[in-house]
Amino acid sequence: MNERSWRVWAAAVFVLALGFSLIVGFVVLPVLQGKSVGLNAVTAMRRAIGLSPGSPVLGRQPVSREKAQPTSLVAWTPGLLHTLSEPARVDAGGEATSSCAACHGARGIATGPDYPNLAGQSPEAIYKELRDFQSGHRTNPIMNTMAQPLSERQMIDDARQFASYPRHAAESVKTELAGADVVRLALRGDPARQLPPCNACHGNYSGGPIDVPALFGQSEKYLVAQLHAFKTGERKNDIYARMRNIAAVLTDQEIDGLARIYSAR
Amino acid sequence: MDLVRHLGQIPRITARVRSATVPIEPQTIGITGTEPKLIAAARSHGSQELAAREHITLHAIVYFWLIPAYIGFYCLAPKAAGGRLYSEKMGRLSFILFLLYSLPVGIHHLLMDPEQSYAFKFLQVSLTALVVVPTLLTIFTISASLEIAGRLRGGRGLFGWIGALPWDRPIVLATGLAFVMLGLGGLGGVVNMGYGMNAMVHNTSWITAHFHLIFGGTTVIMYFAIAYTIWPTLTGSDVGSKTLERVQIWSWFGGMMIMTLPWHYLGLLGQWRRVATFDYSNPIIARWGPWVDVSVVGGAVLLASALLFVVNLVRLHRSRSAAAEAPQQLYAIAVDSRERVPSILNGFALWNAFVLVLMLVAYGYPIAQFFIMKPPLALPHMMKLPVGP
Repeated sequence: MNERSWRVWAAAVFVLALGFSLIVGFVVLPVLQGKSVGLNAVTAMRRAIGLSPGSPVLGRQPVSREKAQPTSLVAWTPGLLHTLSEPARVDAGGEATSSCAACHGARGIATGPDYPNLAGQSPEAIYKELRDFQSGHRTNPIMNTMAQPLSERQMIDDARQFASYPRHAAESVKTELAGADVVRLALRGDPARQLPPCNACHGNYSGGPIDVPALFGQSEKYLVAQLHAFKTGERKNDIYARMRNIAAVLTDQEIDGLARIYSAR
Repeated sequence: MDLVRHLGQIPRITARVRSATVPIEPQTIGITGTEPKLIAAARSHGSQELAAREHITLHAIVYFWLIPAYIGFYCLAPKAAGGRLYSEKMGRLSFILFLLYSLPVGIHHLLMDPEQSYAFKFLQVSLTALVVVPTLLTIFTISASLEIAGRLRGGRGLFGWIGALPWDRPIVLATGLAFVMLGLGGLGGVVNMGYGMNAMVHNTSWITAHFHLIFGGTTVIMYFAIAYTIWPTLTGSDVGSKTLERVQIWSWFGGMMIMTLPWHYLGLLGQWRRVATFDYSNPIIARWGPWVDVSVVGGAVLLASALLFVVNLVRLHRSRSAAAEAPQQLYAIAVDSRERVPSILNGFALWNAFVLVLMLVAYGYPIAQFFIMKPPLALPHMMKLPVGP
């Protein structure tokens, strides 16, 4: 290569690298991504550069006279987590003798489709719901009454007891149970609707907040009812409205399909 | 004086703002008059200046630390291994690309910063991605140079040259170990560089592990070996046995791996950085404990290794035995040394112009916005405040 071609190549590579970054970063990405949230091209590009704010700046901080209501009274203190993580005090028969068993089954498998299976849930998930039923942050005529007289100790014991029973559930999503779009929702989510994959939190061995319930093997009817309750806002004990936001954009068909997938045994 | 008095009240004011319930009545905040605007101006200006200073300079600084290590790779290692530098042009190109892509990339440290708009983040991240090019060029060129040396020493077959290299020489050993750490740390760096993946590891021990591997590992281990190589040529005296020098370099490598591999894992578990203590009575945090213990062992090995480095230097300095040979030339001759170097690789004129363009495009508006945009006022200053007595 002679002197001149070195210069030409250097300039060409430089211009290409810079041009690629500028065109993709300042035009292509803002316009394409802006479209999915209803922004026109000019606004999207102005926001990308920083000429327009990402959200409208209020001239004045809004003042509310209302006091915020907590979503739940449960606080995950180190002491509570320690107690919940200890092994269950299984009594002689190894079966729940309390009134829970009448609906939720002696070993956590519910006696009817209206009631959820508790076997193999995490103790944190069971405790959280019991506590919310007691404080009224989750409403259900039967459970509010049942949880009312329970002491903290009893709730912890019940949670650990049911958590210790084996769960009868599918290991992973059975793709034949629902349409491809519903399976995709469970495994991949739908970014355009800001839906994370259900499995990200509810799959076996997945992460998520500490009180997330495991869904595989749950009663189909119960799952449908809860998703509808989140959708209408009737149930509102989910921290940061996580499930309310998700259920709000699910269609009825999707709710049915997801319930079929997760009730698989 | 009024300003000083009010600045002193800031912690109290902010504490009260945090604890106040909605609605916040101005009376509960306990500030009066017009001075708060000054406080807001003083505070916002200070923090912006700090952020701007960090994101302009930090990445450039770490690359200037890295350059001596690269000089060791290109000039000293091939010579000490008994070979030649595979290509001088590639070496020059690598250093020039470092100049270009170590400067206009600082916003990759601020990907979570809401003050920067995302198009500029994208621009600087794509320039950051180009840093991979000189790094891979270097790994290729130096591996090729060492292969020349290994084959000259009788190495045969696809990998036989690796075993034939003089690994007992500190700078050759350090180069090999530095490449292992550069590989791991570099892959971790590619994770940090990606906007989405960065969100997962931002401000966690993963980051601390990354820069310890690259700087504490790759860079500093080369500093050690460069000192061992250059010292005898300066003083004319050398130590007979290089065993302690090899022990020091191996223990530095081992300590760095034992310390940073757990940090990477802890970062993925969510262990945050920049805090002094953790509450291990919390069960979620308690399971970090064993890995923290392992990393402390690595740190202890590193401390011992650093002390041994000082011992080695003192031994080199006090030694009375003459250096084995006074090399006429310390650096490696390139295979292509007879070819004429193109003039653009022998000066900075063109590259300085490129850097100027990159800096203006990448930083012009992000810095200008601090001067042309009115900063939003903090909460207490947005309210109608009663005039004091």
